[in-house]
Amino acid sequence: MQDTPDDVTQITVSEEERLEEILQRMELDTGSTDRFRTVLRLLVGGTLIGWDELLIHLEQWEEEVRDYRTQQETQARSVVYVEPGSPTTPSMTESQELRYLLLGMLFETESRLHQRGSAILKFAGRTTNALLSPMIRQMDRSDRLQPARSRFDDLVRRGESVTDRWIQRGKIEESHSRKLVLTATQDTFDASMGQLGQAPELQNLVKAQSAGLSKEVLDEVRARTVSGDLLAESFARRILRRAPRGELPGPAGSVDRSEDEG
Amino acid sequence: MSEDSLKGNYAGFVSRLIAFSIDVIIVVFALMFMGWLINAVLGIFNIDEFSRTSTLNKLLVSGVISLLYSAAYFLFFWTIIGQTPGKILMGLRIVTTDGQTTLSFTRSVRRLLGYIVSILSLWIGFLWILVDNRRQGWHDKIAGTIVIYVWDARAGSFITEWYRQRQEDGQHPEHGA
Repeated sequence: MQDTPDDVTQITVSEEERLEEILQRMELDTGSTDRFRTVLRLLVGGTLIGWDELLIHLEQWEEEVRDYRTQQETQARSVVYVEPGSPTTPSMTESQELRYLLLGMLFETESRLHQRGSAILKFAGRTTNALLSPMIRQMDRSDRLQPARSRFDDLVRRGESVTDRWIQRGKIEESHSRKLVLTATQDTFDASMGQLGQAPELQNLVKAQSAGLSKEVLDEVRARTVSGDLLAESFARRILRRAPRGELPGPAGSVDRSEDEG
Repeated sequence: MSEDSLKGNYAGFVSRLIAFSIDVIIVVFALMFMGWLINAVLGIFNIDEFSRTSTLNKLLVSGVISLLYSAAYFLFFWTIIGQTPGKILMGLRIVTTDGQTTLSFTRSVRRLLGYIVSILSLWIGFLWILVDNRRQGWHDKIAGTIVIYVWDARAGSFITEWYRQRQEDGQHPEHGA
């Protein structure tokens, strides 16, 4: 399980210790650990860890798909050259065509939005700035609005302190939630493995599979040596310039062919 | 048992060589363990007479013990179950030419002497398995024994195909399962 690579969410060990202390104090203030809070932490931690994992895997999957597509394209190019603009798949049905059209449109839209999104946002920022700047400048300079401005500044300061506290609490809770989820996952995994290990059905299955596998391996080795027997014999006879013999005489008549191994 | 199974047929050189090698490995490990154990016991009782003897003496004593142990190993398994651990692993069994599945102690001793003869003849006695019609080494001939497959033996598909090809080309295949 990886921690998020985002530096903002990373907290140092000393900071973490301090935050743990604050958290414990907070829990002492509010009495025993709240079940609801624990569930909330589990949810938050699960979501965060799940999201991180999803992002990591998404990148891997996308890379695999890209590789696969590159391979396919290389193969296709080496097999047949398609003239640009020529119909690529003449055997396509109408429903298939419609489906591909819709999918193509969807991804095309996403690509265009992605390309133009930043330009639109920049434009929106510039427009808002141009519209609101004169008004704000006016309000800053006005003497009549001085009392209201000082009250507003007080409010902002209080708001900032509240925001700081929330950020700190968020940091603590995130760290705590991640730890809680990791511990819960590990415990659940250990318990499940313990239970599975004790289940007689599973033990029998593992034993049967191991026995089957070793017998398969042994049979394979034996089969190869039987082939080796025939090859070595043939080779030796050729070296000694002896004529290849006919069919081997069968085993002594009184030897029981059906005798079991061992 | 399926039609092309070689079960009950004479076992070939490679299978027997591998079985023998497994036995040799087992004997060597057992001897090493015994050596370590004897050293440890002598060490406990502060008996260092053996370590004071000459290297030649040590070699002689170790050699005799090794030979006796190896002989005992083969005699024991041949007489009791007609298979050594190596042969069990490779699915082989020693039977007499007249079809008995158990070997008497005398026959086992004859086979062991045959081993010595085969070794002294620069291993030609063992290599004889490659050219003998019944895949017998000299030790087998001396003791009147043969070695057979006791598992559902079959060659790999490639070899089977190769033999079939040879048969089609007018040559005789070498097994007639």
